[in-house]
Amino acid sequence: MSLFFRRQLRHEMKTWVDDGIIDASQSARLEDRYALGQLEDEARSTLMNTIFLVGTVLIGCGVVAFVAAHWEEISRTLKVVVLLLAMIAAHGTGYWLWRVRKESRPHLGHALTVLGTLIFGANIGLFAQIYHISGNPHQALLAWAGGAVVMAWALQSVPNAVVGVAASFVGFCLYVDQTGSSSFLFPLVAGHLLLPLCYRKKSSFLFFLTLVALTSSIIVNATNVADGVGWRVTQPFIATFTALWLYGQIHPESGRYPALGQIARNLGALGFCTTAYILSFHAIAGDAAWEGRDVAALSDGYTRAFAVPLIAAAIQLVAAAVMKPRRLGACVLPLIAGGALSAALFAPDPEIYATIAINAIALGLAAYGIGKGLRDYVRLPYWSGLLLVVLIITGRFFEYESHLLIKSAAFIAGGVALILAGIKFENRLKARGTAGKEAAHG
Amino acid sequence: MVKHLFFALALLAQLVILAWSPVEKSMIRARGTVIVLRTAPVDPYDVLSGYYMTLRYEISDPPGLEDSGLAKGATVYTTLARGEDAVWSAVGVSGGAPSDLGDDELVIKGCRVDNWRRKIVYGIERYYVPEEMHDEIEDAIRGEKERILVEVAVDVDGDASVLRLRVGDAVYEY
Repeated sequence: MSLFFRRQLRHEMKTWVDDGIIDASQSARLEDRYALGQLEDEARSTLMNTIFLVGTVLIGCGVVAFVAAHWEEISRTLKVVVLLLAMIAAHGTGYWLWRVRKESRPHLGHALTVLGTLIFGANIGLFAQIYHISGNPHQALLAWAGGAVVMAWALQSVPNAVVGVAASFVGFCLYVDQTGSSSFLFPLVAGHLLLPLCYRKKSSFLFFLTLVALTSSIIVNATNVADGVGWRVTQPFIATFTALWLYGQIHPESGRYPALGQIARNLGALGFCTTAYILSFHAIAGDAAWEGRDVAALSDGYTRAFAVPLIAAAIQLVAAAVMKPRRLGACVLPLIAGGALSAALFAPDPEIYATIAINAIALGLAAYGIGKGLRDYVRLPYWSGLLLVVLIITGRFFEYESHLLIKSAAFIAGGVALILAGIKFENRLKARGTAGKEAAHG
Repeated sequence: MVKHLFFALALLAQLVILAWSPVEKSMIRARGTVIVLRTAPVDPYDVLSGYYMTLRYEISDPPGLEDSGLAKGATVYTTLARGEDAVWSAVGVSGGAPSDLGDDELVIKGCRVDNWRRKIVYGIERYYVPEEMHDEIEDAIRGEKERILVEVAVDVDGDASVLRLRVGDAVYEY
């Protein structure tokens, strides 16, 4: 339960007790249920964590800059000794304060272990400097990430894992950029090392970062081997975001990890809608369409780019479904939307048919979002849907070199459909209002 | 107790990761033959390690590479021969370690990359310099474009490590 909700609840409860809506014993039970008595402690704990971690990051940046300055006044040996001792001391003191000392200082101790991992990164840079190691920087970053993830697991530490995610993802991007190759191992290894830790620690922040790194890496890999061919670039975007969305949909809503499913769902849907919107421009749809080109040119690399993440995603999906499915029916929307968007790019005369189909899919998603928002009284899908509609209308209106007659017909049809839907919705509201009043009188 | 062991192992893992490359490079420096190569540097910046010279050697694009059939990503063994001016240059390339080396010849191991800067990398393409020296070295390089040399240690397996940079008569060793 979010801190914000609990704070709001405590504030409201005072009014409810004053107004006689609930009595003192009910208030106490609610306080107990939502652990409202611990709010101050939790807020203080978050604040201390933030202060110590920001301080740690600043010191870590200072150490990295010190190494990069390559200052000659201190001998190479002394620098190595000082930095190695600093790393061991930070880890050791941090661990002692956090886990060993009787009067433990967990926040400071934890922050010091993060400092140890940051100095570990600086040490990698120092050794590269001393020995003029000229491997690509991705090797240094991946080594840093490896050490950070090992420490994160050993200490069950989210901030150490965050260092690992950030360093490994930047390292992966540099690897692809500098070698021109793809690393299909990265999403698999990073996923299997980091996702279980996200679940163990129930960390939404780490889960979000890990998912962003994983989906981006799958897309970067596939795009890299797509040789700039439009449909080969586009399909991985659609497949990856559909898989992520499905994962979020199938994820247990209640229980131990409710927030994680929501993150996957929102991230997947956001990525999917953005892809659909970008493809809704007729010139882009035309470029991204298949048009029967280069079937023979499907390289092993491209097939692997698809197969590896999809097999991994399928295993995760089956595992999630077997364990405790949220609602298998909830998979229908992502499956239909993903299938339809993917298939639309195989339409003949893509600049017309694919564009119309993609716009229809994007509008359908927007309508679903608005409808869901109104039905369930939730803001996010409502505003997302509305934003998507506005973007689609603006995009189509200002789009250059489009078929004006089709555009005109689409706008008129869209407007009429919207007004008819509005009338129907209004009628329903009226009918519900009348029924409500009759029920109240009767 | 197991908790403490996990932490100790994680710390040990970080130390092993740290020690890996330095130990390898120290071995090359201790056991390798020192050779001199001609180069042409430029100076970029690395967030972790600071300013460095990117070194492009004459041997980065050796003769016979195009006819060797070695694809991008392949391990390349470049045979080097010492010239009269004591500078070593490439005389041939192959996909395996050559066994018939002459007296003044040795082999250096690299990887074919075919990027815009060079065709082969040998792991000796960087020379880190102190922040306060990088302007001076850059100026020296501009004035001595023809006489920029690098001393490199090469071991019997063909692995190499950079030792020092020579620009004209000046020697830079950091």
